[in-house]
This record gives sequence, C-alpha cells and structure tokens, in this order.
Amino acid sequence: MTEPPILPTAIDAPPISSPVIDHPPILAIVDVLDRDGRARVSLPVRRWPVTVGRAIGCDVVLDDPYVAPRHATITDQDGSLQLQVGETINGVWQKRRRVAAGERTELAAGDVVQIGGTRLRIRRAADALSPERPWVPEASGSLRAVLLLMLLFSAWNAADLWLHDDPGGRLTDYLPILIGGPIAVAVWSAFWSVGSKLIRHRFDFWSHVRIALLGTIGMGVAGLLLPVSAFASGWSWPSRIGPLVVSAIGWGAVGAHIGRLLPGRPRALAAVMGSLFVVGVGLYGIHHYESQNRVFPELYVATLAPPVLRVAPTVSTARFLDEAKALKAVLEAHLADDNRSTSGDD
Amino acid sequence: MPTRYNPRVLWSRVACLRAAGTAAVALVAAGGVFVAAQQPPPIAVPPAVPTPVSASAQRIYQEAKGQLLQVRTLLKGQDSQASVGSGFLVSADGHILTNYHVVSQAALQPERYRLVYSTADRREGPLQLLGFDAIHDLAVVKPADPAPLAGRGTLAFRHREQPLAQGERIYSLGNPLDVGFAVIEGTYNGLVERSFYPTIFFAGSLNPGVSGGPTLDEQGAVIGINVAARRDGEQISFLVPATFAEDLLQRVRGAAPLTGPAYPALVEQLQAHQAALTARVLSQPWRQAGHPRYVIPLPQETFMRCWGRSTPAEAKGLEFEHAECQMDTRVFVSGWLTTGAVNVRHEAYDGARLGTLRFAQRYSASFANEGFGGAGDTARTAPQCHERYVDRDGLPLRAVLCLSAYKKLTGLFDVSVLVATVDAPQQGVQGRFDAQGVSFDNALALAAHYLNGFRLTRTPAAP
Repeated sequence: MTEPPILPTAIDAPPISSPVIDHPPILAIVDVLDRDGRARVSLPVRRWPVTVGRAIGCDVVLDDPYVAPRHATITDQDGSLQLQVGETINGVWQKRRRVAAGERTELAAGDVVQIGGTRLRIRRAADALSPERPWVPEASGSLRAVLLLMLLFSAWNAADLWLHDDPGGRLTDYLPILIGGPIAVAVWSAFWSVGSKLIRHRFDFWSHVRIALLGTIGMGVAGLLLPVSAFASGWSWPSRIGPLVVSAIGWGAVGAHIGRLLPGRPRALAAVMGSLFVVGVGLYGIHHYESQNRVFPELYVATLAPPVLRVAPTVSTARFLDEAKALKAVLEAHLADDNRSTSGDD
Repeated sequence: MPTRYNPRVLWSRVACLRAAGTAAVALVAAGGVFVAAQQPPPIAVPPAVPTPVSASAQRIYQEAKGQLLQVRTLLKGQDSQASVGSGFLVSADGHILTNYHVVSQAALQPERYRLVYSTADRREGPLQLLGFDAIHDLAVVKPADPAPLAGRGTLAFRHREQPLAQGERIYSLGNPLDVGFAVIEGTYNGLVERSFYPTIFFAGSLNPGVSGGPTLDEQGAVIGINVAARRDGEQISFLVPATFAEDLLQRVRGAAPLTGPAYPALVEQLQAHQAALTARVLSQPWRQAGHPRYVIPLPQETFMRCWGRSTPAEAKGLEFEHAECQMDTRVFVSGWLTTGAVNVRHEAYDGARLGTLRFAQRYSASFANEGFGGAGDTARTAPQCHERYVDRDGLPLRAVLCLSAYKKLTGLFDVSVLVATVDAPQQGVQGRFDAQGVSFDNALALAAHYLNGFRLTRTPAAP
C-alpha cells in the first residue's frame, strides 16, 4: 500500500491536489526556523512517525549538508513525543544536550531541536498554546512628543552654551550646537535602529530617538540639580553621587536601546544591565578607595550657586574647626592602613 | 581659580646644588656647546701676569684645596654614584661640613646608599654621618678612617662679629657637576630679603655639585656654605651663613655616627621649624587687600613675597584680581619632598558684566579648580576634607578644610583651607591658605587664623 508523501508545503498554502474528503486531520506541525527563531516553513503532520533527513524519501526533507540522509524519526507514543536519532555523525542537539546516533529522547511541547544546521520545532495540536503577547507599536507615544523633546534638548544645549559664553557672543555661535545636537542624536539613534532592523526587522528610529533624548536631558538635569541641591542644603552627598546618578541614567538609556532590540526578556535584560552597572561602579569605588582613601572622586562640593538658593545654616569658625578635629582619626587610620600594606609588600 | 596651584613649580626656581646623576648628564649635554665656546684652547692660554683678582682666587684655591672634598652618595652594591656634592674639613679629627641635602639619601635610606669622600689628589674613603640640621640644610660627616685625611689642616670660620660689606669679593669652592674642583668668584650681597631663615645672597655662579662646598673671604675664612641657586636668573646664588655650621659642629662634634634612618631626628627638627613658623604667622596681623566689600587676609611681607595680577584689559567676561603670597624658604627633606612653607592666595571676582547665572558658573568652576597633590604622591596620605558654611560677622563663607598626613614624617600634616564668600550673587572672593609640614593642632590654629581674617568691610545692620 502506498500512501501519498507529505510534501514540505507551507501551512497556509493552498492544497496541492483538489480537496479530498478523507484527508486525515493535522496531528502536529513541524516548523523549520530561520535565524531569528521564526518559522520559515511549517509542515503539517497527518500521521506518525515523521522522518527527517536529506533523503528524498523523508517526510521532512532538509537541504542542509550537515544533515544525514535519514537523520531522525519522530513519533507520538501514547502522548509522549519521542525522537529517535538515525545514522548520523552530528547527532541531534536538544537544548544544550547532544543526542548521539541510535539514541532516543523525549521532546516537550515547543522544544526546539537542532538537526545539522537547521532548527526544528514540533507543535502538536493537543499542546497548550503560550498566551498572546501584547503588541508594542513602532513608536510608543506620538511623533509630536519626540519633536517636543528635541526642542527641549536643543533649548538645553543653547542655554548651556549661553552660560559658558561671555556676553557679546554672536547668534551664529549657537548654530553648531543647534544643528549638531540633533544630528548627533540622529546618528546615535540610527546606529541603534540598524540593530533593530537586523534583529527585529523594523527600523524603529523614533523609539530610539526618544530614548536618546530622554537619556541626554535626564543626564543634564541630574547633573545640574544634584550639585545645586548640595549647595542649597549644605549636604555633600547629593554632589558626591551626582556623577554616579548621571552615569546610571546614561547606562539606563543604553539599556532601553537594547530593550528595543531584544524585547523578549525585559527582566533578564534589566538584571544584566543592573549587575554590570553595580559591578562597574563597585570596581571603580574600590580602585578609588585604594588610591585616594575615599569612594567618591569628589573631594569637596565646588558648586557655588547664587546665594539666594542657600538654605543651609552657617556655623562659627570655632565650631567648624572643632568638627574638623575628627579628621585626625581618619587620617591616622589611613596611615595605619598604609603602613600595614607597605610592611606586607616588604 | 585661574591658575592651578602647584608648589613644586615654585620650588623649582630655587635649585639645590647637589648633582644627581641624570641631572648632571642633562646639564652637561645641554650646555655642551656653551661650555666649548667658553673654554679657550689650552695652547692659547698665555703665561701672562695674572690680574690681582685672579691672583686672590689662585691663592685661595691653593690654600684651601687640601681641605676641599667631594662628597659622593653611592648606591650600595653597584657603587655607582647616585649624587655628588662638596664638603670641607673643619677639624683636625676629620670633621667635614656639607649640606644636609647632599647626604639626605644616605641619611634616610642607609640600607641603600652610602657616603664616600674623594679629594683633589684622588684619595677616597667611606664617610659616616654624625648629625645634621635639615632646617639650615647642613650636615657633619666624618671619615670612617681619619688617617688618610690627617694633617691636611682645616678651614677656619670667619669671626662672627666681623660682618662683610656688600660688594666684597668672596670665593666659592666645590666640584660643579662632577667636572672637577673649581673656585668661583663672586660678591657678597648681604642677606636675602624676606627669607624665613638668614641666607646669604651670593652674586656668583653656583652649579649642581658645589653644594656643601665652602665660600671663603679674601683671608680664606669660611663665611658660608654653598646651598642653592635660582634657575630663573643668572648668578643669583645662596649660601648658608657659617655661624649655623659652627653651631651644628659644636653640637655634634662628639656624637656617635648615626646608624639607622634619620627620620626621628628629622621629624624633631621639622617639628621645631613648624612651631616657629606657626608662631610667626599667628603673631602677625593680616594686612588688608583693599577690597571695597571684603576684608581679605593677606600676610605681612616679612618672610613672604606677594605677587598680584588682574584681568587683561580686553576681557569681556569675569573680572578678577589675583594675589599670591609665598615663602622662599622651604625645608628640603629628600629629592622629591620639600616642606615647611606657607602660601596664601586669593582671587576677588566681579561678575557685574556677566549676570548672576553666568557668574555662578564661573565662580563654581574656579572653586573646583584646586589641586591637592596627585594620586602619585607617595609621601602623604590622600587628603581628607571637612566642609561647611561658616559665618564671619555676617559674611557667609563656604569653607573647606583639607588635611593630609605625612607617611614617614610622623605627626606632620599638610593643611589647605579653601574659602569662598557666598553673600552676593555677582561678586565674591575665593581664598586659599596652605601650610606644609605642621602639627595637627597648629594646622587648625592656622586655619582659624586665616578664616578669621575674612569679613565684610562694613558689618551689615542687624536684622
């Protein structure tokens, strides 16, 4: 008895032959995945077992030089999906495990196996589907918001230039920053958009522009407000952590760019970016403590804002110097540290 | 502040005259053409009748050459010379006077360096350090075996009560740059003005290598010891008055040679110096800088020298007046460390042409632009600061007090006080006071003295 071969046909392609009444139902689908993990071809399975290989007689014929003529056979044994590896030197990779020739393995629902250089996924009709994911539109928020941010960004840059320029400057002095700023943001965003295009097949330019603008403006605002608040309050810590906060915002923006490229695992990405930041800052702090006996590079608050902003109280010279007496113990501790490390070297 | 504060740059103007190996090579190499042009060919020297001046130099050199020595610091083990200076015999027992900075390497690191003498007639032998006076940069050494130097005679000191007149011809002896023993003529020009310790101003060329050599009067009596020269001028050289050398010799004549590192003795001398320095600074009232709004502390110019400058006329932005007062005197500790000096500096800013925000930006940038020694400073700990707003009779100041401790000079600290007035939106004064090598208590006393020097010219009406 000869059965009609199952041809590798797209699932939504029109049937090759005219509709036949007694077509058996589709039991499963074999997806041949492309490099992005999407199904390049989906083949319906109407009977078990399904053979996979380079030979013409296989149910799933793969044009892949790393695949044996009869590489594997997949069957459904009482609801358990079994993969039997045929005569092959490469074997089959299931997750990170190699299943050698002649061995057998059970596949879970949605498992991806690699046969030669080709990745396959088998999905049975009975398997539970993963829930629908929400669709993130191309540029969340309107283009108008992005343009508004761009305006804010340019105004910030112009104000910064004005602040550093002496009176009597020319208006044309502002041209380089007003033109160059947006161009720099565009080039930066285009760079990330090319990444998006490669990985997600969408250019996603305006999302990246929005991230870049928010990041830059955030860095600028934090870099101004923290030292000024240190001046106002008389506390040194807002100024000390200023560079840390600014770099955290910058790093967060880079993380957001990457997040647009790899939207699949936001939590894992946040964890990786966060850990990298903590490790980097930690190493920097340790290095600085070892060379300068302090964690933050800033030695004192240098920001002197307009006096009207100061709310911190003043103290008398005597009290100031009385408080400074505490420095002696700190310096002596550092001397002791230093002596210990020096005698250790000898 | 517009200029970065760097005490080492200032110190480099006064160069100690100990020749270190590399420096000597560099100087010889750089000056090669000059030296060749100056040297007449040997054949061209006529056996002419010498002029009377040269006759004195010739006579003085002939009389003193037996007592003149080169003091060399050798690296233990390989016996190559680390630095060279000069010295001279002052007692029949073989006591030799030289500079502290000539023997400092051997004094501080006796495990690495040793001292030897060599004479004009090529006799050599090891030396032992008996004692030193780092404040006046003097040291007394003695040969381990006095026999080879016995019977050479000694150089006598000029009588204390016999002052020299300005313009008198004096003769400096030594071995410049390890080229060979030399006699250098010059004139006595009294004491250096505004020096913390008396120092003789010698108008003559002193070069590295002559450090520790004697300078003699016409009668061949020692009036001073070669110590330093200004590198930004010509023939501006310095001698330690011989009286300090006499005193040191009296003190250490019978002392046993120092064996371990000299740090404890050095610290004791630096402590005495900082006590004297602090007492003098504290005893002097500040003089006024003449600012219409602020009273700014400026030191009396008794042992400090102040330089001022102002905004260039074409400047459109921030206007300022800058004044910096420094001490010429610094105590040489080692080749990479000097200490024991005080600096006072301020800038008065007027930002009326800038407006409040632009003024605040420049005022902050100036306050941030302060140096505290780099991370490469191995002599001191990293600085630690205390900062607050301090009230001075109604004038609010941002005050920052930074201290660092010397690692080897136990009990000595560097203190810096930064001050910025924060009472006006478009003008202000920023000041900085530095004292190097002072005790912790004196550091705070000096800081208080400086901070209390600030106030408004007119006390504001009570609210």
